Amino acid sequence: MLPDCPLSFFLCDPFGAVRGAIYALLSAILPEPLPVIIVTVLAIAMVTTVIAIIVMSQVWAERRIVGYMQGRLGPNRVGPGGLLQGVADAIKLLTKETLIPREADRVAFLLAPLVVLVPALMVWAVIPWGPGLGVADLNIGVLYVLALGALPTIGILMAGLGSGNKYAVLGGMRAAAQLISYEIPMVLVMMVPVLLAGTMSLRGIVEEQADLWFILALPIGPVALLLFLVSGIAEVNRSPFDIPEAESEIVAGFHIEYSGMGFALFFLAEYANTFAVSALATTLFLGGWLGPVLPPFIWFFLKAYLVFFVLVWVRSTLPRVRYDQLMALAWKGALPAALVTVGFTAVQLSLRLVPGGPRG
Amino acid sequence: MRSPMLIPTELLIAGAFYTFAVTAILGAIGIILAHGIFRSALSLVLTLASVAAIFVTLGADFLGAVQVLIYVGAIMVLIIFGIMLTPQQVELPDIGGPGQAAAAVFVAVALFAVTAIVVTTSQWPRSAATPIDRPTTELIGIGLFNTYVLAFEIASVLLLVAMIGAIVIAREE
Amino acid sequence: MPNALPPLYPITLQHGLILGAALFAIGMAGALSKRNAITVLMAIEVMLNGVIVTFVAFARHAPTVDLTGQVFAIFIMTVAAAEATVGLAIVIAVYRLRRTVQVDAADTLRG
Repeated sequence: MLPDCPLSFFLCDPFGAVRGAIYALLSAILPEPLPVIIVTVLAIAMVTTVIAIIVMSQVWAERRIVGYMQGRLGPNRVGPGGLLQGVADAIKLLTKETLIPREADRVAFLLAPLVVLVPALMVWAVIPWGPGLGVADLNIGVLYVLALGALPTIGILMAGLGSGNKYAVLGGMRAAAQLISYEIPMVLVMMVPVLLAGTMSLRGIVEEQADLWFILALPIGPVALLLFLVSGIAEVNRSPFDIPEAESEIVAGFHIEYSGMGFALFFLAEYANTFAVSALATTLFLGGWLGPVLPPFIWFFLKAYLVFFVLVWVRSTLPRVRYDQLMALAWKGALPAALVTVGFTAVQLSLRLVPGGPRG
Repeated sequence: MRSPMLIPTELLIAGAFYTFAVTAILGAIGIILAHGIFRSALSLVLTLASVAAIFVTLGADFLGAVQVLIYVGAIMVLIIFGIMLTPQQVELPDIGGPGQAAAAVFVAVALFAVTAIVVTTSQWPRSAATPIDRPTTELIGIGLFNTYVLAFEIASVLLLVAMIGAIVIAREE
Repeated sequence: MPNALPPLYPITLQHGLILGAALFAIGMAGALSKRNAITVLMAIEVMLNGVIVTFVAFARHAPTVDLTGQVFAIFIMTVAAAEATVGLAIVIAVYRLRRTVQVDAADTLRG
């Protein structure tokens, strides 16, 4: 059941074993469907807590790594080695006054951060952290992730239009154009692991990589991962594609009027999305939680943090691209490359050059 | 050992269906009654998302995700871009006045009443009633590429034509 | 006279059909009474969604396991996307000429 795990099931997959034990215990005393609901609620609580801790660590790690790459120390004052920097940022943002401009459309202005944040958190429901660990396993997992990736665009347009500020409208339009342009290569590239695994369920995709990680399915694996990361960076508005939110670009774009809680929610959404892109890259291409000796969830976080490190590395190395270069890269570079990659994958699968394809 | 069911699945599905049916209808009415076109667009987002949830309760999981991806993620963005590019400087009065609105509501109510009466008085054949165990993705794919492949190809040509046509019509000279 | 109103639960075909009819009717009321062309387009999208709900309800409650309704629903979504695209392009083109999006703005050919 568990590849390469010499220790007992409990030590290799402790959380999966605990979840199974809790479910068995509850089934004995409670009628259905309560055990399923209680176990799922506990899983959701755990996932949310872990994401909060991960976002705090990301704030610290990113600024620290960028600092070292630029020859300086990062934050090192708050807590041991600066580890509590994320907590300090959160407290600062939450204690600021939330200003609502007079010309703003209140409903759109106040709901926009939620429309951006909630899909970023909902994505975590389908990402498997271990063989028995994960909130839910949808048989349309990849499509669910893609659908949720399309929702923040509406939130950004609401923020831009609802701020009552012409610069916010311009920033919102540019951000939305960027997001929809990079959505298409992302959808196409995410079909490559689906084709190789024969299923859209994320847990199924990880299990199909037990023999061969998809990044090693040459020559399409590395190309697909590269395209996925490029589209992912553009989708979460990270440098070098962070035109919508950089302070020097039309005064911080669509979230110019947000302060305090609203800005904290956008900030949180961006970091949660960045880690979601890293987690999806590991799940789809790097074998998720597979690996010898160590417990699966440690492998998962190791690989996800490795991809996150690469994203931070890219941020501190490359300058911000110009808007027309960004659009040209999407429509004249990423989209044809994604189409060719998917076509090549399909050809390889039908010629049986690569293991995989529809099961059964 | 199998524990007894406290709440049958059918009841949960019915509860979800009614909840999202109410939100869909409220959102649809909100498009008509909202002040300002941007509020109408937000009501439409609510309606489309509720309809996606209704698809899931009707056993169409693939279609629900596709509804969110295409309708909410793409068509709504298109409509909001259209709203942003056509700001109305002056709010002009209604074309037909309140009489037109009353006539429209009357026609709509009459149509709904006729349809509802027909639906409730017809004898519908017994449904298969077993929920589809296989995921619908595979079955839809088989249908698209075997029985309905001609419609599939025509749909792709239709999208190409619409894309080119929209670019040509909306281009600045 | 309705001889059998559908029971509250389980959800039968009639629930889905009545919901589809309700969405279609509300969309039609909006399309016939609003003066802003983009609002009319949005009401038409609601009408199309009502039709899609009807098709999916039929697919769910078919006498045999048959997903034709869902396949057709995908085609309806495709056509709705194409129609919204071209419709908005026309609205923007008319706006450039007339600076307004009222539905009776393009009346040069009125006799």
